[in-house]
Amino acid sequence: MPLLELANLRKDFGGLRAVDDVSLTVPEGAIIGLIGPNGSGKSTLIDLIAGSTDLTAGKVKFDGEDISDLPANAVFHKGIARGYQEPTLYFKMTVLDNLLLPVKDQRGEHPWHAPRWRSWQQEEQTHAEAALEVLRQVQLLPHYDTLASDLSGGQMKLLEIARALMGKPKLLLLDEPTAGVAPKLAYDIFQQIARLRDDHGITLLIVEHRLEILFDFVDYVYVMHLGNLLASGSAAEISAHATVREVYFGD
Amino acid sequence: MPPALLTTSLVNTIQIGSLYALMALGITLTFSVMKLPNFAHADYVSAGAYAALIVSLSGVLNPFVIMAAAFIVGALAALISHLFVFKPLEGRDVSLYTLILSSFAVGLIIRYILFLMADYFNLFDLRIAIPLRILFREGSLILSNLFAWVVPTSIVLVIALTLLLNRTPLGREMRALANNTSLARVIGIPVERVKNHAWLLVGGLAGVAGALWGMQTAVSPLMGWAAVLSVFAAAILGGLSSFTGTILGAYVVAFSEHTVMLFLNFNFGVDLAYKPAIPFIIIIAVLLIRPRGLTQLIKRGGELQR
Amino acid sequence: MIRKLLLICLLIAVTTALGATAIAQDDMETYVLGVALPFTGSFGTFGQDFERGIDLAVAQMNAELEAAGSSIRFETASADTEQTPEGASRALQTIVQTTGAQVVVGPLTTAEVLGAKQFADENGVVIVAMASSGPAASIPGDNIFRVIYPPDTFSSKAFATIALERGHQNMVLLHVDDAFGNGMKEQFITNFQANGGSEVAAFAYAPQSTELSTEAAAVSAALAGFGDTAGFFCVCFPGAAEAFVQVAQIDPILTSVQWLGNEAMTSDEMLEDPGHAQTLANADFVTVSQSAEVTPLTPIFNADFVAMFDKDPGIFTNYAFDAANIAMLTMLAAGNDGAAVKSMLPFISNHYIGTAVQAFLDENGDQAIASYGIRQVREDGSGFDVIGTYDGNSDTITYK
Repeated sequence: MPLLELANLRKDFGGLRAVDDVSLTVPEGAIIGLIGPNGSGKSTLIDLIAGSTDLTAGKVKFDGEDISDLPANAVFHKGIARGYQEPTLYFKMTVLDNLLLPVKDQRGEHPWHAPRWRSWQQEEQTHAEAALEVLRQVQLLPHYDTLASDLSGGQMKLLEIARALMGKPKLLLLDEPTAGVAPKLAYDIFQQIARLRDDHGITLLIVEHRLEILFDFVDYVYVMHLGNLLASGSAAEISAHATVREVYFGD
Repeated sequence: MPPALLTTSLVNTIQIGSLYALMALGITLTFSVMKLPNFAHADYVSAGAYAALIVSLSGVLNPFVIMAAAFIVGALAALISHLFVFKPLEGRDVSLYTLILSSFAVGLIIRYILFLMADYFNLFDLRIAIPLRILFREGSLILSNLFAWVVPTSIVLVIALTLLLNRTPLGREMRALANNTSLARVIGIPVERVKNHAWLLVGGLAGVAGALWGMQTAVSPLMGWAAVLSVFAAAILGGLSSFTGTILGAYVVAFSEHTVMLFLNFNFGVDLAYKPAIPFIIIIAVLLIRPRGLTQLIKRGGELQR
Repeated sequence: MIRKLLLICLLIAVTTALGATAIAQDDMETYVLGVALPFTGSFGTFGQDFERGIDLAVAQMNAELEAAGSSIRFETASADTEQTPEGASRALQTIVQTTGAQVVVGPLTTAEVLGAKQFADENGVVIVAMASSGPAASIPGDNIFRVIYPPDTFSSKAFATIALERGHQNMVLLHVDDAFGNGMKEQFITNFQANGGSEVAAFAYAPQSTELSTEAAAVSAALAGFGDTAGFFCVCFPGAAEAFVQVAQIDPILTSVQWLGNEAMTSDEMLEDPGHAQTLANADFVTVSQSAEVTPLTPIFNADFVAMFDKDPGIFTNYAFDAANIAMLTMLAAGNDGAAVKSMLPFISNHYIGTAVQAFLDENGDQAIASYGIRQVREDGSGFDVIGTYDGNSDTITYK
């Protein structure tokens, strides 16, 4: 059974059909690439899966369960985390605070317990240690107390990934994780991403423009064009695919 | 201006300013976290004052019990107005002006419920019956037991709220909502629950402010509404997004209404009846300096600061 | 805005209901008695109680008319003046334009009466006010009648005389900033100074104020400036009166001088608070107010009111009852026509014995019988004793 299954997904924005009848599957433990020219509907597809936008028609099945109508926070707690093209963080908060926000069912978020420091301090300590461990994995540990706005572009991307890990996700959706990052660092980021799968068994669906890096890591690639699924196959197959080369590289 | 008058007016400034701060913080918090300039806040104050009055009339004169009752009633009034009015409206993505008008309407409904109740039980212009005594007297400096209740309670609550916001998981989530609500949803923060809790807190503080305000003046269904402009002026002075700014704003408004007003009366013969104009003048001055007014503030309303 | 909308909806509902009943009894002739009173604001409780007094008068009148086989019935149409002059004008317009009422009972304060005056004069609607006393509304030939309470021209003289008898050379006055308060201030200062008084320092507070610590501080400083010979005179509305005493009770200067004040200072709420009662007692507080004479009708009114509403009538509620009766009797005699009512109202009113005092109107359409009681608070603050009377018509004070 695939981990994620999209069946005939459609999304209209007014008269514009951004995603048109897309069906695809993501097997557990895979790294899947999602590519296509600008405006082909990749980011909208990510929004639909994450529950950030309501879908017009179709079905999203995750882990055997229909999650089509769940709001974003419920989808998150089902085990789907996401990253953004532009780093989207709480910039006025510290790195550690950014990681503690997604933790589910904290005792101290209840107004009855919150004023009573002792009732949640120990639990908070445990969460903080887990967060520090995640930071160590993405090599941000020394920055745990800095404001998120003070990090570099690449570090912000890593923090996003770290935040996603805090939710112990099964599936991580990444929208151009290397956008605006220097080429050397881009490769490092992909190595970190691959480790998520290798060390934590997290399945990944990655939208990426830097195909030369992406193709080194993915198991399978889907190509979108004008809201439709144009092709799919292994990295080698897609590289050789005539139609893809035509729309994508203008060959 | 005689020194005795200056002393008295400064004592009044501190006492009333503390109450304004307590009321204005709730407005700032609602505006930051819920993106709503809530004029019904004034009527949570009145509702809390009536809860306090009824408890005191039943013979319980322990100020802590009185304030706890006011907290509960204020909190419920706020939560109910959120669940039945503001939340459904937010879901429909209405404009800011619709929200402002609906907050006026919610306030009116609460006010007239209080009117009906006060008329039925004849509860007009009564006072929360904690006897007033002079606690401290040194020359023209006179501090009453009311001062000793109002000022420390307000300060403690203001500090507690600041700590709650900056040092607890609940406060962390509220700050997150204030900054970016859609991101909060994506990273799994239970947004609706945090909002409910924020409303309980905001309403509860307004209720306590009402209990203290009711010890200062007479309790009537209009008492909160009568103070709403001063309180909004304080919150607007604070930029509607900063706690420190709001607290300072509260004392500035109280200072203008008491000390500055008396100074103008004594030295230039300005009539005391102009006192209610002071918050208007402050609001207009702020809006002139920030010409795009509330909407401009909305866009940067995210940055809830310490 | 929303308040207005709600009011309009309410009025539509009320007029629809009225229309329905009018159809049901179409062989009857219905006279509409307008009621314009503050149902909201700090006087809301007065307005609501007054309306009950008027409803009682109308119910009794209709019962008598039915027993007598008359085809005339009275109905009331009420609107909220919101305790402001503009609100009073709007209320009058709403009543007249939706029901065609020719006679309106109310409003309460002089400011509201003056607010409603222009519309009443221009449209030939007669206003029968029950408690307004500001001299500003003493105008000959207009459509305003103030049938029960005499103008403050009289009581301000009594206050000035008492202040001088108490040995005050200077007075500090706190008054509400409206037609009533300003009228009282001007009349008081004129009378005080004409009879040998020296300087008067007057402070106005805004009518909507509910917190008067600044005002108390200013009054206290002015009293300190005048020294031992000064007294204090408070002309406040209920609510503000309590709020003022609340802050004045710990002021060392205000608690060491003698006070005069208007009737609002003598409310039940005031004496219920022991601190307030003690403050008034220490200040030898004295008020001058219209003698609440007991006529044969007074106990009957009280009993009927309790029977109908299951509560005691509030202060002045019988004035509203009397005003409504004078209005209805005049309409029965003159017909449902503003001009005829205006012409005949003084005659009817001069032959009416009410629950409070006989009405006898002067050339301004105001109560001309100026008979006041002088009341002083008891030493223990438990209530007020009548210590004398003031006859405004001869300007003489008689102490018991």
